[in-house]
Amino acid sequence: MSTSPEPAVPLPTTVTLLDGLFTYAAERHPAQLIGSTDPARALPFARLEHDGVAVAAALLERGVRRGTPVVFPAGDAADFFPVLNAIVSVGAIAVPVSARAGRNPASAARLRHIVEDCEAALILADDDAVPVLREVLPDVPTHPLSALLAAARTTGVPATAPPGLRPADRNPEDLALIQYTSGSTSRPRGVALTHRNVLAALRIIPAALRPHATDVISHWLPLSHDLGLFGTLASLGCGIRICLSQPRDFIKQPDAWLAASCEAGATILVGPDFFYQYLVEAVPADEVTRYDLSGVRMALNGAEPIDPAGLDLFARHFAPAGFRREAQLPCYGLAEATLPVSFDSPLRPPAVDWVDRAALNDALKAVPAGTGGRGIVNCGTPAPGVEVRVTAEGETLPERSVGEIEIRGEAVTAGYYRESEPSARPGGWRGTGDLGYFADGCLHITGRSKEILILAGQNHYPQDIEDAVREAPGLFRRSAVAVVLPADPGAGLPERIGVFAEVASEGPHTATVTAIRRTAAEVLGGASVDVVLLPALGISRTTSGKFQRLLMRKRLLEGTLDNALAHITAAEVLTAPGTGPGGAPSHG
Amino acid sequence: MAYSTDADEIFPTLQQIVSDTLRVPIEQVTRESALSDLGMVESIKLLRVAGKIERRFDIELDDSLFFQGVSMGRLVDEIAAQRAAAVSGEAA
Repeated sequence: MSTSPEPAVPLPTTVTLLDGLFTYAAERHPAQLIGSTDPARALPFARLEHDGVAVAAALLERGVRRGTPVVFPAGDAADFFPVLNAIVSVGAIAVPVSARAGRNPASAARLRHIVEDCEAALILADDDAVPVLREVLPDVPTHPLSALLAAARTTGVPATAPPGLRPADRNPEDLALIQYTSGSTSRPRGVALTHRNVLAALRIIPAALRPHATDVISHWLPLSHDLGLFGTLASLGCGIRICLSQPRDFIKQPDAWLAASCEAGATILVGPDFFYQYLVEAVPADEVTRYDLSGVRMALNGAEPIDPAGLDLFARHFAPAGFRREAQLPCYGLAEATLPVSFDSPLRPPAVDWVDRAALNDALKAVPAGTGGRGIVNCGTPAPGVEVRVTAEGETLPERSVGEIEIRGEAVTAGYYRESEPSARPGGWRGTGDLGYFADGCLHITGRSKEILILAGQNHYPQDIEDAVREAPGLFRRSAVAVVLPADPGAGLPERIGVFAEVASEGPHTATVTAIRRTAAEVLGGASVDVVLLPALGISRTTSGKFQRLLMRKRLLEGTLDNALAHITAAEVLTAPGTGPGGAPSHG
Repeated sequence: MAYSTDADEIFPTLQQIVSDTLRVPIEQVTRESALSDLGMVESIKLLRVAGKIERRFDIELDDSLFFQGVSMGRLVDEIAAQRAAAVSGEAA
């Protein structure tokens, strides 16, 4: 008689503040481990509470006051969670940012906008980012995180709790955390989350997924990103073993990461769609049997559009390693919902809705069609505690009609931090900016209403590329615009950024194209872009002189852009122009 | 397996790694070309190149090097420098 596995213990309703999660996890699962797949290098849950209280005392000494935002890097778990615990324990607001923030000019600029937007009272940063930040943000105190942690760990937990530590009059409606994943670089938008929002999400996730006490989750997602952060916090609440790696370590050696995860007995994997495609590329077919994926119960796929063909390819590629198709679990979530919106059922393989492409694009209707149409992955039913509807002009649409997805619920943010005008809609509904439809009660995402390019889980905005490439040599009056171009599978091109640039001189324009390509690559973390060269004033403008980006995009895609001088796609190899000794890039 | 720190040896190996990972014909990977010239390079591919170089030459590289559009020639110098440091480190 096979005993069914024991369900994980749900987080009790008595926990109403985020620091309470760490206190509870330390009491209920003190020896459970978080961190490296190697148990010897992982950390017991109890340590996150112990170090957290010590760091909280150190923050109070540094004069951190209640209700003030504290910016800190999302490095490894041993540092990140005690600091998160400490910040909320003193009633301040945690603002996690990428671990790479401030290390180079581009990321320092983004961080400056975030710090100014939330009027941060303190920045904690990695040692090599501190000098850059003190220069870029002279009037905001910046402390090396390592020194704070070292001091806290040596002095340890104060004998008598300092008065500012977890004052009794705190309220679940107080702000706990601001998530800066929305908005462009120059106009970041911080999703403001209360303790109540966060704790609601940490209960919704296990209610939807029903983890077992013996589950082991393994991922490498940045803790400054909602999927990584709240997936991990929910796991802490359930008391399951958490294997965490740094994004860099996974991306550099994906096969080693997969082997370590199997070794640690991983039963839950989670990551954006590119994570699964990347593993297929990293593990040659004749090496698949070296891995044992038979124990994987759930392979959550979210945070990015999901490629139907990619799901099938992954399942077939790793079948010899015992991977079961039923484990593939498409889901949909976003920062504005803290994280969870919908999850596909773990009891059956993922489903794809094949619809007529023209009806979808033109009539905004999802009309079933053969596999020759467009495949939209089924992202399952709304999680318990999250209301979802599809609307157009405020009207709720019937099934199979495409509109904007709106959400409502205890885990949904009330608005962006210090937003100028309220972004919530009547009845407490919140627009997600994502487009989709319901079919048989299941959510299907078809695109985004606003121009965003998501690359490897990172949001990129055409505006950021435009600002960067305007300095390229040879441009006519710095005139260049950027748009998101759809994938062109025929030409082997993924979704990417396209830059329309006006050039003054006759040509050749190799230096201009190379400079645009290299500058854009720095903003896009290496990705290359299409470049369309046009004569002076070749970019169409409105009567008021505003660039008409979408018109240029439409004409390019329709092939009616007859004044284009050249169109160099992102895949084309550039022969490096005479770049002088040492191969230094020509743009200096 | 000792590695020569001589740059002429390192470049062909680097060329092969870049060509395989980015699926670009090897003759198009010249000393002057920067990774972003080679088309469709995404941060994950850049870091994958870094991972393979580090494993192949048994060295540590600063990742940001790959994001600044540096040329192959510059990468060869950096690898040679790290190798020399590693070899002298072992010898000391």
